[in-house]
Amino acid sequence: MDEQVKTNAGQGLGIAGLVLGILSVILAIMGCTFLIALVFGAVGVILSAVGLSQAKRSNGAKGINMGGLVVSIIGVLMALTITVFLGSFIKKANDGNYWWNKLEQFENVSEEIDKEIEKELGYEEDKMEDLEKKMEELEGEIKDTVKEEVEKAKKEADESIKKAEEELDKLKDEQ
Amino acid sequence: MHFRFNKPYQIINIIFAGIIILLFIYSGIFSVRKENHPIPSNSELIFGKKTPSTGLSRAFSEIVRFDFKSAKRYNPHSIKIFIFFFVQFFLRIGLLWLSCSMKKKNLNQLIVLDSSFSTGLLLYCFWDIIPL
Repeated sequence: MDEQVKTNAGQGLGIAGLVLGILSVILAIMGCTFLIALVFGAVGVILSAVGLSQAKRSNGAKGINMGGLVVSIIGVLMALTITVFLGSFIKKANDGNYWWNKLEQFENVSEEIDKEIEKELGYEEDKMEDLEKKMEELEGEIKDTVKEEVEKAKKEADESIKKAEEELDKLKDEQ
Repeated sequence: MHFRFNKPYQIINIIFAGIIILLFIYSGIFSVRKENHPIPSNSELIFGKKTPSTGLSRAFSEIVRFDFKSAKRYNPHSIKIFIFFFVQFFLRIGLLWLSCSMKKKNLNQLIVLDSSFSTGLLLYCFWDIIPL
């Protein structure tokens, strides 16, 4: 029996299609990269199909092209399915049973804890304003007191200077 | 030993090893501190919500810097997924070396074994983040 020698026709396209197909499956599974998976899968399908037709025409090996075509189609289907499921998954999440709603609840709880801590430590806004007012009043009082003290000291200094000048004058007269 | 990279299986192994190296380089170049990851979460862009796989790029960037605690914070499944790529990298290199000296019949058996193991590992590592 004569065995026909297989050529390499379409092999390169088949390899590219298979690689893109496998990548599209991985990216589709990852969920948040489903758009890239869709593009990779679609390109993989085209490359594998072209490679398959080349292989058929020139008696090339069809296995790798078939593999690439199947995996790419699986990748595209998975990406499409995940797009639909992701939509419903997010809808359910918005309805209130999934983990990220719980995460939002957790965030709310942590905010409440922060508020409680602020209350305990007396950092409430109203209290802070009162405290600032009192601080301003105290500052004003301190300024007044200091002013009075300074004026007193000034008077006393003036008086003592006057006395000293008088005594100096007396001493001059005696001389 | 005479190495000839002309079989499709060997070429595919080289391509995947290269892609995984690029993934590691990507994780090394872009970092959480610089906030410069170029691939956004598709679901966040379209639906405005996070999915179980959101934060993987940031987590991978932390893993290549050996900050595993921080990586878990960005995505709790990131270490398992990173292990998949890590195992796959060495598997691709090992199988490439092995396939160079194999007969065609044995190579076919190896390809079946490899695809079964890799599919199983893929499902095991990615199962928690499939949004189905």
